[in-house]
Amino acid sequence: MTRFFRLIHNEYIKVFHKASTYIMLGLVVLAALGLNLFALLMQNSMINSRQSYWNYSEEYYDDQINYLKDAKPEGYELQIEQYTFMKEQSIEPYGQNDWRSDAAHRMFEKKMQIDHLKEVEGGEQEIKRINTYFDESKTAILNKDWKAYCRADIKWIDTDPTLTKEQKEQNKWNSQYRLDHDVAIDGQNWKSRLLEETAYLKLEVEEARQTQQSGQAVKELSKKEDQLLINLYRLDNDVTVDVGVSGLTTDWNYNFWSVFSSSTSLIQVVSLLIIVIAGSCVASEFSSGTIKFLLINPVKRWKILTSKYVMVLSFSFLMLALFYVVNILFTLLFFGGEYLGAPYLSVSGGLVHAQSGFLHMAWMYLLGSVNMIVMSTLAFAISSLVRSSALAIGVSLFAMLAGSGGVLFMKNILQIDWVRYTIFANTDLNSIVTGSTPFASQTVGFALLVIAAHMVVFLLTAWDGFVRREV
Amino acid sequence: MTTALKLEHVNKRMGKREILHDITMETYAGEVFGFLGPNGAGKTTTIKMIVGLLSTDEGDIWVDGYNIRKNYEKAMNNVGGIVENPELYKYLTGMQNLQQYARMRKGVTQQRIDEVVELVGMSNRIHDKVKKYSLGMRQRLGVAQAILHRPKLLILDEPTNGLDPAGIKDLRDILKNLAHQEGISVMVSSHLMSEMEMMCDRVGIIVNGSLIDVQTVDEMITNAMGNQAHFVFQVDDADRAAGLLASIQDQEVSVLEGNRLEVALAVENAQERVADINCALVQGGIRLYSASPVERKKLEDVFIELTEKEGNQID
Repeated sequence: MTRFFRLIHNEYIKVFHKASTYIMLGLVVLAALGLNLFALLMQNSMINSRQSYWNYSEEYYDDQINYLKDAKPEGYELQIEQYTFMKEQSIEPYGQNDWRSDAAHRMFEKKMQIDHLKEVEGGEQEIKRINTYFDESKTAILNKDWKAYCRADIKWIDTDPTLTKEQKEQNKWNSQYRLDHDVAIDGQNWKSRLLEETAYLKLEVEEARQTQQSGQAVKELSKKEDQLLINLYRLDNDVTVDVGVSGLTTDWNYNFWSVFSSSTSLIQVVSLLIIVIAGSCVASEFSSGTIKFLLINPVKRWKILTSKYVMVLSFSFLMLALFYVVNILFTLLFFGGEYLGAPYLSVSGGLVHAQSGFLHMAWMYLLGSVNMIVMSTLAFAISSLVRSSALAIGVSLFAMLAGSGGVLFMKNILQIDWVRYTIFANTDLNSIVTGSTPFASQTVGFALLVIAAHMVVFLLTAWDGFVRREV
Repeated sequence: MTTALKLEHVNKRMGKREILHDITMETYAGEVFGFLGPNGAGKTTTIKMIVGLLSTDEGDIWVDGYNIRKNYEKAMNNVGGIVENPELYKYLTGMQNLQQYARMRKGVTQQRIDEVVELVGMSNRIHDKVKKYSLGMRQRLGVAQAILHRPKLLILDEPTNGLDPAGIKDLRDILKNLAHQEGISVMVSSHLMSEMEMMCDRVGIIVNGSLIDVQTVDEMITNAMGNQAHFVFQVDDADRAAGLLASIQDQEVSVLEGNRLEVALAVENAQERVADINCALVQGGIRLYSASPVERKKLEDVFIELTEKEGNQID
């Protein structure tokens, strides 16, 4: 056994004395750095575009009012009143920063309906209700009192004769929660934003549940239900960041986790390095002629090949760990470590579980490495069979880059369902776990079975070929 | 004599072509065995089979009593060798290369590595990268690699290829020393008869995949010369000298370029006859500059004759 470790030691020495290994390592570090710089640029451009959008200017209102005075469309007097009011109160036209903007829009929208209601029988009650809402909202805006605005909203819903008791509860949940937990309406505040999202999700889920009760299947209902549970958990427990929903596309304001969790998409860069090493570690012995000195040693050939494969596997995980650490370091450097303790939230059995974010990311890296291991095994097998590193690296890279695209093409365009049994449809365990593959009812167990079958074929052919090879 | 290597009825085919035909031979501890044959005769194939790079179709090979098929690791523990060119890891130093092989073998300490480096005279350059080595240095490193684990059988495939005369002499001394002092069985392949003659104790001649003869070098020289010894005389006038010699004795005389005479004499009294010829030439007024025996050229001729004759039979 110690002699076997010495064989692996030999392989590591060879790898770490080649310049190409260091170039590839540099690329891995560069990829991590590149991701952070990219995120930094994205964030800056987003902040800039948002700021220019929010910027309040009196001229905007003046332009609008002048236009309305000229064109005189239906209901223009009320619109002029709205803009004048907003201008006087210095309210941004479309503010996600300022709750008063939405409030002003809503109260004038409702008032617009009064003219119409005057012609409807029994409309007086409704007109009275609207006027109450309008006055209360206006007072709230004038006093800059968001709580008063929430109370006005609750009253508006409570007095609505068309809603059932349950519906009322649903609709006023948002405002009620704000009052109960003192969550100001503020687009800059994560909790306030999450509350808005959650209120919307709550309505969506309720609607979907009713559709399902009527016998229609609703897609992704359980996913939405889980998300709702997680959101409520976050609100109740003040969980600012959930690692599970972090990412460059989902976050509004980038933090450590949004950048770090998107680093899994760059595991392909590590795969590139591993495929090059796997594809050349056998073939290069043949092309340099060193295979002769290697094989005349008192070591059986299968042991030599096994030591090389063990090197490739252990090296893959070392590189993965390195990539993990380098990403953490760069992201800490560029985005700070404000939310390092953030958990990953998941739902099982109707309960929300909190797990360490770092542990979750390690797991995501492992899932992401499956494709890398399969493709480097393919490269290793080809290189020990045909003794050509160029061919081995080329074929494996092509398989890695074009494999999943090819599967999508065959499934969606050519309508071939049996591609689900190929290796390419099964290596992306991450999307199988989250259920985002093109195949119905694809399970992780099945994917593992397909992967194992392919690996066995690759490895047996490689071993048999290498042991019999006439050098 | 202890048998280090034994081949019995070894056959090898590649496709339809028979590469080796019924090779049976032995080498012994303490001798340098020459494996002689023209290019393509099957020398490298035989060597590759002995070190396990190629499989045997039929027959068996034993190294130090271990069958290489049944007891591969034990057999290989007693073999060291260089097959074709000494290809080493160019991006590693000489020392790192040797350490690679040391890790794969039993009982090779750093002390042993240093000892071997000293033996092949590489101490000054051992920490340089191999890509900076000349072919001669790589050959030395190859030998160091081969003897690292004190094998009982050392096999070198055309080891003098690309070496300069000084390098060849050094290598010859190293190999002779290993065989005669340390009792290793050394097997050296070559297509140069002259080289074999200087290095080897016994020679096996292989032509077109068949081992046609195994002899000691002494036997070979005697056989090659038959009962005649050849001498070359350098004179001032070869034609007149030839006439003079023809008139006094019946012997084969031929005139060579540059006023040289080649004379074939019976082996038994060759020394006396040379003195007689010397005397006759001087008395006949010929100026004699030198008289020297020729053996090698004849041996080389015999080898070529032998291999060509066999060559016509097979294939």
